[in-house]
Amino acid sequence: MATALNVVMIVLLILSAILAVRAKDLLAAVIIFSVYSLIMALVWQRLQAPDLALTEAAVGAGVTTVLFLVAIFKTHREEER
Amino acid sequence: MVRNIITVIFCSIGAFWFLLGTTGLLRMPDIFSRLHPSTKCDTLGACSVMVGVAVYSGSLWDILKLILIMCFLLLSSATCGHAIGRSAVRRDIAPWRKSEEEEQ
Amino acid sequence: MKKIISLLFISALGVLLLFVVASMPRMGDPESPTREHVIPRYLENAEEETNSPNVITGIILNYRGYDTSGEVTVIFCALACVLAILGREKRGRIHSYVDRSPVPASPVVKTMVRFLAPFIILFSVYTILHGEISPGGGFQGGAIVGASIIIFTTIFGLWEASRRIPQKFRVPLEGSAFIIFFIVGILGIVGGGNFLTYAWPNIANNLQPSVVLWLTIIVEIGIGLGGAMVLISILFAMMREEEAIAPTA
Repeated sequence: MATALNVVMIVLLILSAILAVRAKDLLAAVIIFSVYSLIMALVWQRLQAPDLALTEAAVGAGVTTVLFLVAIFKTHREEER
Repeated sequence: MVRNIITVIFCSIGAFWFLLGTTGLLRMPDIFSRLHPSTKCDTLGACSVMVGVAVYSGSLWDILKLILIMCFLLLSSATCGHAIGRSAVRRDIAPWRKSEEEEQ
Repeated sequence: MKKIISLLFISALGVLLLFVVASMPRMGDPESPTREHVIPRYLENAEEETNSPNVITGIILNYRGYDTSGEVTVIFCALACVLAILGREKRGRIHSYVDRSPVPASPVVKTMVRFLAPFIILFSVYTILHGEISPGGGFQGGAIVGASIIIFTTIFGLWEASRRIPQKFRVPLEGSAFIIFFIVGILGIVGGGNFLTYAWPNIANNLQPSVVLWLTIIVEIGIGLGGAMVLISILFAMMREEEAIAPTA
């Protein structure tokens, strides 16, 4: 059961990482990246590193998402081809 | 034993609501109707899972923390739904109507 | 052609990495090399020597104090880079696109942010001060303070936020993390040890645990304040707009 949970989380992690890189819409990429950070926080918690989980949840999902969003608002939303 | 059964029941209800919410999010036609299942699954699903966890843990401090989390979750989720819906209205996103799809 | 070359390169790299993974110790293996040299000493003596029940805090702030002061400097350098590109605002209040938005923020959201922000800051203070005992510490607490100010700024606008946290308040505190590390290090020398010695040899033995504890807490507070101010300053530098037009709202 625990192994299945780990496998699910790692698959989700890899999927969200690939999707975040591949997304053409940068807003979608930022949101997927924050999902990646949240799953990463869960993985840290499961690896018994609560300090890192807290950091990842606060910095990865909270602060960097907003900073990316501000950067997108200041530039263009679509990736240039 | 009874406690475990109650936990399983509440967690299953929560998981069921999460399933319904996700299905609704994927199947609903426009942003306004999508807000409905997504806020449902935040409030009802997560809160019943937390009630189940509170019953399972049984210690006073855990229950207090879970109640706090529940309060903050209810507040922030409702506010999020309101903000998204309001910005959609402000941007003049037309609500979905059944006739439009038939015409296409 | 280019694609084939990159595919070949990536698969070669992948095979190499998989070989490395195969030779790595199993997760949680008690005989893996990382657990044989310094970890047992940390786990056995950390609570006694660093006086913090959370071993991670003890390692980060006490045993690896040099590393952490370096990290703090890196964060400060990130802020310096952002400011070198975007520039620091002139004194006074600044504004952003949030202030120029013709639609005022929803009263529901405003009320909720006003209601929740104190709780978030309270939680961050708990995270900083309780970092000795429970998971958390300066970095985490600072990031949470930064997040609460970010929420406030995105809803109420930069005009209001820069009134609450003016420049003269932010600038001295941005470097506080490294400054406090430096002061604690010098205090270690004054107390008779080396740089960044928390357990001063010159004082009585029964006082030492409390000295170590308080020095750790002071360093945590410094890191928290410094990290939060760095994040807030980066956000302000990124959101701010050049023309000095008074906001509509």
